[in-house]
Amino acid sequence: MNPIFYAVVSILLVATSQFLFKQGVSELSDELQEVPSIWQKAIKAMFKPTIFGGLALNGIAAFFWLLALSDLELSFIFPFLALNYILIPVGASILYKEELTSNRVIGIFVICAGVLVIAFS
Amino acid sequence: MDNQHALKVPQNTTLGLVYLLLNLLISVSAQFLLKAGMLELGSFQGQEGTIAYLLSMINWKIVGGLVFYASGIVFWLLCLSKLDLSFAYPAATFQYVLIFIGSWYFFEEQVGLMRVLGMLIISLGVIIISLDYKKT
Repeated sequence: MNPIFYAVVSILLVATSQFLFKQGVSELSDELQEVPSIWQKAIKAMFKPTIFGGLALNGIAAFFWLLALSDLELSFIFPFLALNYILIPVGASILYKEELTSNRVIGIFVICAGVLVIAFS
Repeated sequence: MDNQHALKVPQNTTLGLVYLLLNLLISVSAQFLLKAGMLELGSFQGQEGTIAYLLSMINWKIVGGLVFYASGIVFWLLCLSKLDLSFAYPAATFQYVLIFIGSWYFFEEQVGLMRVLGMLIISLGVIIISLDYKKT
């Protein structure tokens, strides 16, 4: 399998895990109102499928990232990380109606530029 | 347009930013602890994977680093419950800047000019996305 494929899978899994986290904590903020103790809250949160699933996806993503790293140089695949700074905000605006203000869009592109400069340094 | 956005920000922005900052500090400390712990294992060069090597990974720095790492996730979830994902995820790149400063300060790693430039650009980007929150 092409190692770039592994890197792309890893990045898509990370993005998905962030959407699951956001989904999970949004639902929890209502559900946890009636749970009194902080420990019960923590346990309830951990076993929530979206949170648990997000954690699991992160683990699988790390595995795919290592597969990609074993075949490619870090300096080559590091820039792929910048993709997530675009994918995640765009996904959040579609899924959760977050507003991509002009400041946010410009800032995200500046951050991507910074990540790329480090990648090629 | 930006003012409308400020009104739509979920419940408690200040608390969200505190959680984000704690997430950054804890995650970065985790990396420093792990690095420091693994540096101590340097004498095992060439015999990684032996039982003695794995046992000596159970020291306060590495175990503490892993505990910090896990606590970082908790604060990340808390942060997401208060802030937009499209703000928090890019803002978390500030972690790179903190790790960069720490690697130079604690571990005396080489600092290239391009890397300094990259850090400054990332910081500028984080400042730009944070501008919206001044209004809340």
